Amino acid sequence: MKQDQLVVESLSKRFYVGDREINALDKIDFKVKNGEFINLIGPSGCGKSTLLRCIAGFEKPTGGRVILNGQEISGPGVERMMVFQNFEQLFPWYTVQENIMFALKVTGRAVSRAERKEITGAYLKLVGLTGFADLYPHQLSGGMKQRVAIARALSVRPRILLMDEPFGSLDAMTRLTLQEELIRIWGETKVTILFVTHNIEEAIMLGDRIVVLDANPGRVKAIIANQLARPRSPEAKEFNLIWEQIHTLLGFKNPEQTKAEKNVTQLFGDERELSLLPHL
Amino acid sequence: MVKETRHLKKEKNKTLNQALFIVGALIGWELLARTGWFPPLLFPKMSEVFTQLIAEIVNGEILRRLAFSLYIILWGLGLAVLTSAVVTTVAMLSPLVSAWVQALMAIMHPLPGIAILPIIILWLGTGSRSIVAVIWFSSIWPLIANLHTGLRSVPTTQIEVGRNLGLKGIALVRSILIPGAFPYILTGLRVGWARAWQASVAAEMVFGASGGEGGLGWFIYKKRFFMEIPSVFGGMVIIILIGLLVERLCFEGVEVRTVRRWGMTSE
Amino acid sequence: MRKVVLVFLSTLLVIGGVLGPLVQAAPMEELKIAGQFGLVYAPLMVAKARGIFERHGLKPVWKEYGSGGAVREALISGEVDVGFMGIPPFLIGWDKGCEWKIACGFVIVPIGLVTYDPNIKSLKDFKPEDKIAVPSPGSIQHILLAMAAEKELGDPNALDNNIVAMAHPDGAAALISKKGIKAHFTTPPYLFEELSQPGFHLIVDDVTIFGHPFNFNVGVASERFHDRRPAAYSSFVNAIGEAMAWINCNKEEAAKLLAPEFGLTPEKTLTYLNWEGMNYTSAPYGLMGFGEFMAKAGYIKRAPASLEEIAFENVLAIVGSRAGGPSEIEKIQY
Repeated sequence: MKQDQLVVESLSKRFYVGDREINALDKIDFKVKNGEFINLIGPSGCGKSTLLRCIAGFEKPTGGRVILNGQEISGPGVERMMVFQNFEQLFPWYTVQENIMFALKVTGRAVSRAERKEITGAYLKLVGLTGFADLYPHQLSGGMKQRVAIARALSVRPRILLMDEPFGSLDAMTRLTLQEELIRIWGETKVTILFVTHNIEEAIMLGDRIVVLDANPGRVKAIIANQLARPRSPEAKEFNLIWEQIHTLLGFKNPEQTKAEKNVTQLFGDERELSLLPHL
Repeated sequence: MVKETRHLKKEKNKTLNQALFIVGALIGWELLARTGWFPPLLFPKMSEVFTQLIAEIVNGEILRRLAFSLYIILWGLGLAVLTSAVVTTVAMLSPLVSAWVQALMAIMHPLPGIAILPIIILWLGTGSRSIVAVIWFSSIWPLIANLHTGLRSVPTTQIEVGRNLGLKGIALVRSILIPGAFPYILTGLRVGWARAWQASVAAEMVFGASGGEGGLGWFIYKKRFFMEIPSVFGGMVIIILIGLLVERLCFEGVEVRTVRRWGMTSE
Repeated sequence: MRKVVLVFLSTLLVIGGVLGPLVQAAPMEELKIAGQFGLVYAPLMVAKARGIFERHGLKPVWKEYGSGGAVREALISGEVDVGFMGIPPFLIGWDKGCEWKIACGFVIVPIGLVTYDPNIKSLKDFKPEDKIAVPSPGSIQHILLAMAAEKELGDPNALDNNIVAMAHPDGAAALISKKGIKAHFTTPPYLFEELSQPGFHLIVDDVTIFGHPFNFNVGVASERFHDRRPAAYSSFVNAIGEAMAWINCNKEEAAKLLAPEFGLTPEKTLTYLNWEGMNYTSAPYGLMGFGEFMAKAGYIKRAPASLEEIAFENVLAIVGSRAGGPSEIEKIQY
């Protein structure tokens, strides 16, 4: 029986844009087991990135807490490594190898230079970048940059890997390849992964469980257990079932339903829009 | 690889062309001076300029003046770098100070350092201290402007990666912010150096430093009053050569090894 | 068509030929003068205000320069026909091959080295860090300081490392505010201003150093101008003489005329004009004295062997050449 590694307890985050209060996260609760692969999905503005950043410690929640291995977190920490969507997360003044060696050095994960070099080699091999060690980030493609970022994050042996739409800026093909690679790496390292995405297929392809978030206020709408056998394929019937379930949860309609309602929308377009306005 | 050699060849051709142009211009100068159309006292022959320059190098005067100029510039520029680091740090910590610095920069940046010389003389008197002050004033604004922009240009993501790895305070500044701002820092130093160099020569020529410890500006100034015009041109040649040398060897060398290798240039 | 144009043009030519000489009936010779400003240049300012050059048939074109060095360069390049400078800067140019000579003497003024430091009573009291301001290297003040240094300290270059070059007003401001410099080698009116400050005193003056008064400035003309335009040359010399004489005969009126230009009261201007040692004269004084010293100290390669080498015939005529030993005027040239 795996135990709960990460506990998010009644986590809230409010901030103000001008006079308007934004309820980015409202009493979020969920638990992550050791070695689990969790996806966070939700419409834009649902606070999924804010949630991840609160867990990473980059942002202070206005209420609730995050507990990792029984300890409440209070700031950024090397046991929770973040992989960003932004390709700029690599340090351009270091080569691929130096980027990883730098992380090992400042975290004290490896004392001697030889040891750092050895560990770096192993992680480059893990992400399939052996031979690219001496290139500078600007010489790499987007997909390669994200691989380096993953290798760098893993090299310091975090308890949990926080991934904030890491494949969001990649083309569809690269994205699929990297999804497969991530599954493989996860299998090899047994690291816990919390993965934010806005792509339903990606969430289903990757996660053991999918946390569906609602926007404004940001709340957990549902947590879907994804028992699909791996390797997963979008052609599988169950895949589509989960897809439709999330699709509906996110507030979209079934294709047929959408079609039918479209006519209504056209007829009563104005009134419907009016009725959506918040009642002040 | 083929592309690279072709590129190199092109660069080489360009350098060759430029060298040819300069040699041509020097020969043209010499011929023009030999026609005798202009008073030779004001328009000396190039050959005379170079003979005189060699004489000044051999007797050591021009090298002493050059050493002094560089020493003074190092002081002024060094102080300016320190001040700009402090000012920028404070500005980063306080939005109020940041606004002040920006206002001050907008007002002071267009003011040539040499323009404040009369006031500097009243405050600090004459001598090297005033020249250092003028150099400091001339180079500090481009340094602050670039440092300020540079630090702001470091992507938040990189800073967060640093924080994620447990870096904070000085360690974060040293390992992430400074390398991240390096392209701007380099530009700031470049502009600062050019301005410092100009300011030192200009300041000494406007009020002439003291006889004992003047730099190249004083050299030119003095030679002008003793009507040793070839030496005046010789001093200019040295100023140009040092400017080129520092630009080519120091700054371009550093740029190729850092910013360009890292792909951090805008080109 | 072509014929019409031809007729038209020839008509124009005829008209021009007849009228041209009439229009230029009163030929005025243009004279380009390097004008300078200040008490020393009072004769120029008087000449300008009273149209003295015009009365001598000259049309003066005034050109202003910021420093003595610039005046010298303007003379060399032919930008001006005549200019005024100290004897040492003139000799430096002569030594370098400038084809020019002295056309007239131009004013004798007291020149002095002033300090506020009660401990500095002679040149021996200067410490290495004490700065002495002179207008520029190679200026008359610089050479006088070197002469004094040779006399008192045995080495003309003894104080070279103490020298700072500063324009008169900057130097005076620095000395009066006691910032940066310890002493200032200067001329009126700055000399008067400084000496009227409490505690400021003279360390040494020009007559003590040189032995007798000498021209602070001389009028310099290029040989080309002198040779090619003799009439303009002599008109210039005469006009300068008239301006000098007018000041000497009409000091009060001159003070009134000059006061607004200097921004002083007429009373103060008059005090300055009458200060002991001021002498508005175009007579040659001490033309040869600097050459020998400057050659010995290495500022020039050789001293002029005779006055003829550095002065035009009108100056030579005034000095004369007494048979059987030098006359009084000849003696004061050394």
